[in-house]
Amino acid sequence: MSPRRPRLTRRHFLQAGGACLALPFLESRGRATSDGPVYTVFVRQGNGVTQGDEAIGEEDRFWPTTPGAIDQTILERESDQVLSELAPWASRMIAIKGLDFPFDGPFCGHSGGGNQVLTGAQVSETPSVNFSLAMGESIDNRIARHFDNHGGEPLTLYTGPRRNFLEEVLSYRGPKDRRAAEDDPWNAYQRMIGPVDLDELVIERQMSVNDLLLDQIDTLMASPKLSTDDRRRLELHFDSIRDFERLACRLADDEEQAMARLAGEGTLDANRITIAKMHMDLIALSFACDHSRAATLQIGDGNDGTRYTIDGELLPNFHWCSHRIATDGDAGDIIYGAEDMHHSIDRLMAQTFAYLLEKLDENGVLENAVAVWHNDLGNGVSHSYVDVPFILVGEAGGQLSTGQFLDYEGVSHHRLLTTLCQVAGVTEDDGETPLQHFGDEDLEPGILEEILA
Amino acid sequence: MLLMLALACNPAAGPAATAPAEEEEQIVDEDEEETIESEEAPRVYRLTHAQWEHSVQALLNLEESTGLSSGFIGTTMNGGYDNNTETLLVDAILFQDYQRVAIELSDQVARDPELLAAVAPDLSADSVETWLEAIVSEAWRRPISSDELSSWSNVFALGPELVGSGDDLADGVQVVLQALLQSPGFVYRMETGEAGEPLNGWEAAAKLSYTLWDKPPDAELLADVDSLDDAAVLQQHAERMLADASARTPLLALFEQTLRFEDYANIEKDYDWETSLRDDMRTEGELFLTEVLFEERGGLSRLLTADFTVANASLGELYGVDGLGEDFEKVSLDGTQRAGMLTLTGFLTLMAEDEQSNPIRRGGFILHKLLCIEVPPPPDETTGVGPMEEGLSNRERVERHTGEGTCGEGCHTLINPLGYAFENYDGLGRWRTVDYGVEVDASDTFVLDGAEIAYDNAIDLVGAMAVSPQVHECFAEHVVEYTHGRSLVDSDEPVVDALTEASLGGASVIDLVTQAVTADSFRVNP
Repeated sequence: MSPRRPRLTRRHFLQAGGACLALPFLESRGRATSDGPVYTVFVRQGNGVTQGDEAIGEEDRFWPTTPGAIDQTILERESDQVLSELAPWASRMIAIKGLDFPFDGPFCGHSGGGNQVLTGAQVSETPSVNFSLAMGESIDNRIARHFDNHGGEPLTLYTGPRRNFLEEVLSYRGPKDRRAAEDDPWNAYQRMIGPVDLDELVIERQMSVNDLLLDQIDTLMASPKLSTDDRRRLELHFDSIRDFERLACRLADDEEQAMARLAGEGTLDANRITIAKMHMDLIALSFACDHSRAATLQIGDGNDGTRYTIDGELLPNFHWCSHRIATDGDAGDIIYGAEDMHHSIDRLMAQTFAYLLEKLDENGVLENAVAVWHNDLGNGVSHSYVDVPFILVGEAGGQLSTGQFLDYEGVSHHRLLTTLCQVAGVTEDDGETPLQHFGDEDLEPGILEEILA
Repeated sequence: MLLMLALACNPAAGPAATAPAEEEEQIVDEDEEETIESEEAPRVYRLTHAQWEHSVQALLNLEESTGLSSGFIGTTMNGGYDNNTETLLVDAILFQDYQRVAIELSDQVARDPELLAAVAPDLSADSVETWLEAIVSEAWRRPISSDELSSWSNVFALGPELVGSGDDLADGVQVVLQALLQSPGFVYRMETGEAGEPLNGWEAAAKLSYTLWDKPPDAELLADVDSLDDAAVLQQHAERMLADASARTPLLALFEQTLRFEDYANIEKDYDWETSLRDDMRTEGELFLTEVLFEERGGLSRLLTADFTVANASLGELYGVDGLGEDFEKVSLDGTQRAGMLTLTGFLTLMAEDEQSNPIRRGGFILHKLLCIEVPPPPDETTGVGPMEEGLSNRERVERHTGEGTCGEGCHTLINPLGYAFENYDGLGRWRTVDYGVEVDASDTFVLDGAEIAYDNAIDLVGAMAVSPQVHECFAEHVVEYTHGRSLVDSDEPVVDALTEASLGGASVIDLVTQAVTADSFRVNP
């Protein structure tokens, strides 16, 4: 007979009252300079946008009508266009049309688009088709590893279902090395703030423990019997051992409680936008506290099949709307009014992105940041890889020439990624020369000069 | 061709389409790649989060699991099962999770006399070494060397310096637990022996126990640790363990993942739908599987043809069965209308539209998951099939667009016939004989095991599948992949063959699992 076993008293670190030591949210960090840190966040919408498709007689309902300078008045005037939703941000915005993905997809537009959009890399042949992976690292990883905040890790967030099919697609440590994204803001937050009793002695203790762990993994890796893949996984583990870091600031009590209430429900369709906004709270907090320099937020799975509710109306599966027919495949009922539904989802995404902008601006981060709202397809109906929209907001410390709408008419989007690496302060190994190229090595290096101040 | 997902049809022109000649060549290449899924079997297996929970509970001698793994980062799965070691990484985020929880748990145990006594009863300065040897061996699921013991003694001795509570013994325990819970010996299960030699008893015990129970080995298993390299002894334990309730959750997970139960939580319809049906359908599926797998000890054929379900009143309405209450109970169904897991409402509802069936999804699923035939996704350029109209059935509309003579012909002649068999079930899995004014036609033909079969409806088709070597072989592959916690390798061919034959001969799922975990592919170092 085993002795009576005790029950663990579960400490809910952050429940109302008690142990919660919420610090006031950060005050403004003051006027930006290009020498200070720059924060980069990518918010990804799936399924393309309603920017027209000549083949089926649809017109552009997304962009401003003419390239050039934009301001609030111009965007407001064109109220039929999606970008009118972002009119208050017009003078701080660069709307970029005409960027294309450099590589073909693997017979699956979604996996090929999601894998290329932040990597500028080719798409794997094995695994293939829907399960294909990117053959290079993503920009959030490149920026994060250039700086040592948060151990050089980007913040990687997701709100979408877990169905073992086209889930998170954005963040890559390297070729075929996809990073898991957190779908639960409460988990992400707990991870950021760390244990409650984390004093210097605990940190010292963990440092000793880490030395021991490194030694033990070293011993394991000495075995000649391991497979190549075993070795790859143990090396990642070895490289992942790091001292504890914790966020220097906290959310307010009510925000914490709202997040805790939705713990474990991050994958439900009904919570898609609510969870996206909570993730955005975390991104703003993480940047305001200089916890991480780069973040991604993926809204919806690879071919976002969320049934969004807009103005009280439950829309069909978004992916189906984007096809204009009721199926994930190539044959289904015509959805009448699908283009309008897609358009209203585009607007919902714009409004959601605006929430992030407000949060970043409230804390004085936006002027030191560039927030990018983008897609991983150009157009939903044809799953095209041309005219993939990128909407940039923020001054990045005065480095960006905001208040304009540019149409590049067919330039590979890796040039935007290279430019954003430079803006973020990523350099070549000499520590001075701005990074000259990001993306597949066979692509022609270059940047988008026009977006720089 | 045994261990592969054949890429069945030539993909139509997509964004990556190449010239016809090259295209043909490319398909051949893909075939070759698919045949060899992986050349080397892995030897390092990270604990799944469920296994981590049970391991911590056992190590700390707790009444309940800590539940803390619910805060761990998930896994980027890529089509396999959630215990596939190739996707089980310790990246910086998971390391942080392990670290945070180890700090918390070790602190909590050291500061609570009751918890401390449970993990280190009667600890005194004289018994530290004995305790260390026991706790580290338990955590690492193997005896430790004297060098390893002295290393852990050093860790223990750092307690007063690194914690400094004034209770030196408790401080030592705290530092040791903090390190032990993050240690590679704890979070990984290893296979370290010479290729071709049976796993040593410790490694065999851990592998068997985590596979069947998601738990570290129990005392009975460890009592036979010296003879577990003997397949007969391993088999006795496998049988004992599979008869225990602890085997249920891990084995159900194989089916829940294959049938995508997780997805039921997101089903949304605007036609006769109650959101409470999501949970009802999931519960039904779990109870049906439990009944067949554990109560009846049935096999794949029974899963495919059973003429009952376990339902409550809400589901009873969908089946047209009266007299059910709120509680779930076993219900006989009309065998001319229902047969096994593919005619349960959950599967039929997930693989459907609001009101209508979706033969393409249903057929695609069966092709992929039950026949192990991979078809490429549809081309990106698609068009609608036109509205529902009286006098035109769903099948007729779908056929008009994807059938013979259309651009979808290549793949859909494989997919659609399997889906059409289920045209007697609408978007909520209700039986129907008329669809939009047209009598339902669920008949078709399909090439199974190299010969064309004709069927009148789903009952017919499922009956043919239940005796099809191809279907049993596909299932055998799933069982091997799941029990072995990895993708298949070439050397798995004998075990897949053996399981296929046994399953065709009527072996129960439990017997198949027993056979899988006593096969050389499982019990011998790769």
